[in-house]
Amino acid sequence: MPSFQQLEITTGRGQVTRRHFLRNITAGALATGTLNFRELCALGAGALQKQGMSLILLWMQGGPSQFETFDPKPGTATGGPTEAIETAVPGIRIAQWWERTAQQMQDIALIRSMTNKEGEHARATYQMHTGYLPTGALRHPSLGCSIAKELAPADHNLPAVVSIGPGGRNAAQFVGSGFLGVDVDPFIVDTPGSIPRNVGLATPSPRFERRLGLLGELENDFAARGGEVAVADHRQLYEKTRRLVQSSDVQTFEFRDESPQTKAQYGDSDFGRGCLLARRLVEAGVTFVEVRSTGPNGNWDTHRDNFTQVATNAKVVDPAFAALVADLKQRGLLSRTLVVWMGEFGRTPRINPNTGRDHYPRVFSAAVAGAGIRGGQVIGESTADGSAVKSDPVTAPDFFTTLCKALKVDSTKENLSPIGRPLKIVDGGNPVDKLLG
Amino acid sequence: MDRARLPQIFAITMLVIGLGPAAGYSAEGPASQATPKKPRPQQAVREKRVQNRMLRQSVAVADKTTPAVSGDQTKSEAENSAKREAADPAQVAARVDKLITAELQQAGIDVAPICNDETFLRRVSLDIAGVPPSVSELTLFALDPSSQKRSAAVGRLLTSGSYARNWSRYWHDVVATRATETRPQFLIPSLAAFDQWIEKQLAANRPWNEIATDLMTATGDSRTEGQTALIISQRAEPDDIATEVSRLFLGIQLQCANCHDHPTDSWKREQFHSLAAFFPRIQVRPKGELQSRTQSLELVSFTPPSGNGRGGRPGDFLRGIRENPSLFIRRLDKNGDRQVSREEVQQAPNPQQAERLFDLGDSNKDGLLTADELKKLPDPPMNLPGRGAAEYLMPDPQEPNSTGQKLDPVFFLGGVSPGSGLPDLDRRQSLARYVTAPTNPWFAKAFVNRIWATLVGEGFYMPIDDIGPERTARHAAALEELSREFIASGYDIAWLFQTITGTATYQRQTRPRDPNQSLPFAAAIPTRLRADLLYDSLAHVLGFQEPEPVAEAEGEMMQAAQMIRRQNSPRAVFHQTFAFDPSTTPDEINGTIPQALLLMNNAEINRLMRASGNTRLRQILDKFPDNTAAIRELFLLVHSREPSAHEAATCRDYLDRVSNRQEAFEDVLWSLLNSTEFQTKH
Repeated sequence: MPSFQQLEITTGRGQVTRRHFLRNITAGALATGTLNFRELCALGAGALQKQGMSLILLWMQGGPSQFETFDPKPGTATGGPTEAIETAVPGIRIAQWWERTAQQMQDIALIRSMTNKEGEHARATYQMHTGYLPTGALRHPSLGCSIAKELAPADHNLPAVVSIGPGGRNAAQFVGSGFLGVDVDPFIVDTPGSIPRNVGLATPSPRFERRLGLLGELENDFAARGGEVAVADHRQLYEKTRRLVQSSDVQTFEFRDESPQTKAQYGDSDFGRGCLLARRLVEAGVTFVEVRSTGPNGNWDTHRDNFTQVATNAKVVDPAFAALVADLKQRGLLSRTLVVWMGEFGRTPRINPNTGRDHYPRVFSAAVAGAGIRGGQVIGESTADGSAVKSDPVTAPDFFTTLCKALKVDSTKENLSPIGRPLKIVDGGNPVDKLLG
Repeated sequence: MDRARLPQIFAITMLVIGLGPAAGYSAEGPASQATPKKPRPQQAVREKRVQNRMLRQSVAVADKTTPAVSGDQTKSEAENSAKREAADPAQVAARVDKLITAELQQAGIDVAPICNDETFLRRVSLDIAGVPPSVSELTLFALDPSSQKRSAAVGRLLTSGSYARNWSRYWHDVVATRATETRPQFLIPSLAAFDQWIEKQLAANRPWNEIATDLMTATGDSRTEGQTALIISQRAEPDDIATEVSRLFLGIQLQCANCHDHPTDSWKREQFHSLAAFFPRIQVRPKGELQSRTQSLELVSFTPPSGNGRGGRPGDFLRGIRENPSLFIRRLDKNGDRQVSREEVQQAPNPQQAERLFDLGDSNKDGLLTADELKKLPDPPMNLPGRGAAEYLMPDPQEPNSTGQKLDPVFFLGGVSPGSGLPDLDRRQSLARYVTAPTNPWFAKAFVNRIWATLVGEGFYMPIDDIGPERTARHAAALEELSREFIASGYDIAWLFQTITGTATYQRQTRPRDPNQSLPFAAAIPTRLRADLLYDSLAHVLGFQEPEPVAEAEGEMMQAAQMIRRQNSPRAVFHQTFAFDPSTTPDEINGTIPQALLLMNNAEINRLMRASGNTRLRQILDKFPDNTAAIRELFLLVHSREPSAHEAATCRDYLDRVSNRQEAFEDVLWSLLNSTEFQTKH
């Protein structure tokens, strides 16, 4: 008897597609009222998915300087003028621009020994989103999309994946669901705090429903003339969309019921509003939310005026990051929400003649909180001048495997590319068990 | 799959720009001679559109008067095949039909009847010209008594400018969706040049083997030489180019053999890397300012410095500096202090690259590069693909940091090799010759399968770009027949369109795909419209005009503005929501919520659907005061057919219920545009 995995591989080869497989099963189940064991295994996969776990990625586009964030080196030549401050956890000191985050340190774990080889924005962004380097003929999914595929509830009004930040798909180096397709493709929000584009109805609700009724009636003819399957798919999509548009969940995108204090804590910035929206979406059951810090007030690519620019960026990101962690905790959501702060690489120990720092993938920092991560600790260490990893190096696969483990997702699970090639969610890597407490 | 990468080093660029000889490499003078010995002359492209096969052949003759693309021996095979007489499309179509129906009959599958005229005209207009037919075209076609009117319509569509534009957009999506170059400042201008280039090739009906050859052997500026886009979009990485060349031109997906022998097919790892070994000497270098948003790229052949016996690799250059730093310093040291300052570096022939080397070497960060520092010059930390190398080195997966094994180029189908140590263009031209040789059936089959699948809705092989000797075709004999005749036609693309659209298989009525049926092609299948087709269909119904394409801009500011305009044009925004990879199996392309949202709720589209103001709907309602006539006109416009009795009655009932004529017609139009029928080809 073939194993289920083999069966899946056959379906991906294009002989029988997954949709047909499921359609057949449903038809069979309807006919007999029962399903055999293997069919149950296939259909039950959704039911077995861990409910409720979510991931929020705070993405610092451009590559944030570790020296001016979570690995300051005050008093050294490479550290520059940046000072270090105490945090809520004795012994952990971070850069001076992160006072609010410092107060949440008991819930945040820092990794100061991230290490990678890719120093070019686009490729590093792709790699630090997908775990893979870009290769011809294949688009890998962002890790968050792979996780959403495993965890997202099948029948939910809101999209499984939401991406917040300016530019949408035009944004530099946007990474989406790759070959995993539309079910976990990011729903784009460019202006957090208001109803997203095209979600608001073009006509009053009764007229919208009237139109849908007419559409449904007119579809019948084409369905009868050979468009039956296409019409059924289309109806399903329109029904799903109608549910989103008319559901009260849409109000998740607006902040009407948030107190002025809460809004103030996140800060009066798009990134702050993005973080507040991320909390609301996670609360409403969305599995993966990415909030991108980019654009004029958040370019972390500090080849010039590194110190003033990071300070400016931190004014926006520090309160938002801190408020997000505190707010999630206060609402009891932190235990099931993993918050990740990172960028595509770090920056050079050397301060260049433009008072900037250049790309440096060899050692950089990341911060994580929630979902069982033991906060108030630092993983790994960089050397005194910050030029190399001194202990506990963490590679991209190590890091991604850890994130999967925290979310109880099997990182070795294989998905099939369009030509039926099995690809693990994360290829290799060892989890950083110290992070998981 | 994380590939073991060779350390790829920018420094090799410096060799080319003239710093190299200082390092003691070239005995033959400045390495700036390292440009191709014979720059490939621009292929003259005939602007005049082709009316028929005869004219196409005259184009081929005209091409012979320009210098050959790839040396005399290169073209001979293609020319020989072009000299053979192309068969009559109708006869080939009939033979293909016969083979297909015989197999279907044997399997006990009934074929669907031939579709009616309006279904045919909409189908073929979308397939060839990328827009539905106008109402007057529909009427004229229906009234035309000629028995040849279907093939005549195809001929007209093929010679319309819309054909070349539509299919240039198709190929744009094919290339763009697999690009590993993701930096918009490089990718967008390169693809814009590609769009123009491929449109010209299609308008002139250049044979597919010549187009493929140009794409494989391209050199030049990415903004003006659109044929460079395939290589630029893969960042000139030999293994990524190999992957795409094999997938697009042969339909063989070799990339699984990148890291290990193919798990299910017989391809060996070495076969993949030997294909990559045709491309190591391609070099992509930036033109213009490094920080500029509009930097263009230049694709040139890299010639390794001679004289060191084994050909230079990037690492050799750095090693040379380490071993003899004083030569390097003397070259740049202007004030004679035997060290190089940043200011001195900035006066180097190529200051960007020199500054990178400076940053790499200045280990004590004192702003001065000394001989001692150069002796300890580290390897650069970054991957900089596409910088060119003398030879291709297959990485060792067990030892990612080792040098790897040098491979000579070998074409995996047939095991032919042009030899060792060849210059870039010799390698690429020989590969183009192997790939496009009429004796290689996979080149023709990959193209025939792709076009057939796009037109008919399903391919002989699915996915369309995973064919090759390891797969089994459905209706293999029909594919053989079509491919053989396509080769005989001299890879005439217009001929292939004429032939496929001339088959009864193409012209069948629509039926849903039966998942239990083992053989395809018994009926037509509805497939989703590509983003551009849907956009143009909307424009066709709602009557909006696209802004004129932006003229080629001069100057950095203008080019940046042009790029932003391109990125934010209505078509581009629409494209972002609706685009899919055209190589994907149609079955696996699902509609998305943002797509449905856009068509349902988008304010601009809803404004254009209104019955007030100067809209298309208003014009129709004014022209046809009778509701039944107005409904008929709307159906002709949106669905390219008349409404059925049931549909007409449904609409009339709706009008009665709503009792506001304008509002009710807006709702009818909304429903038609949001229907499955409008959004699919069937």
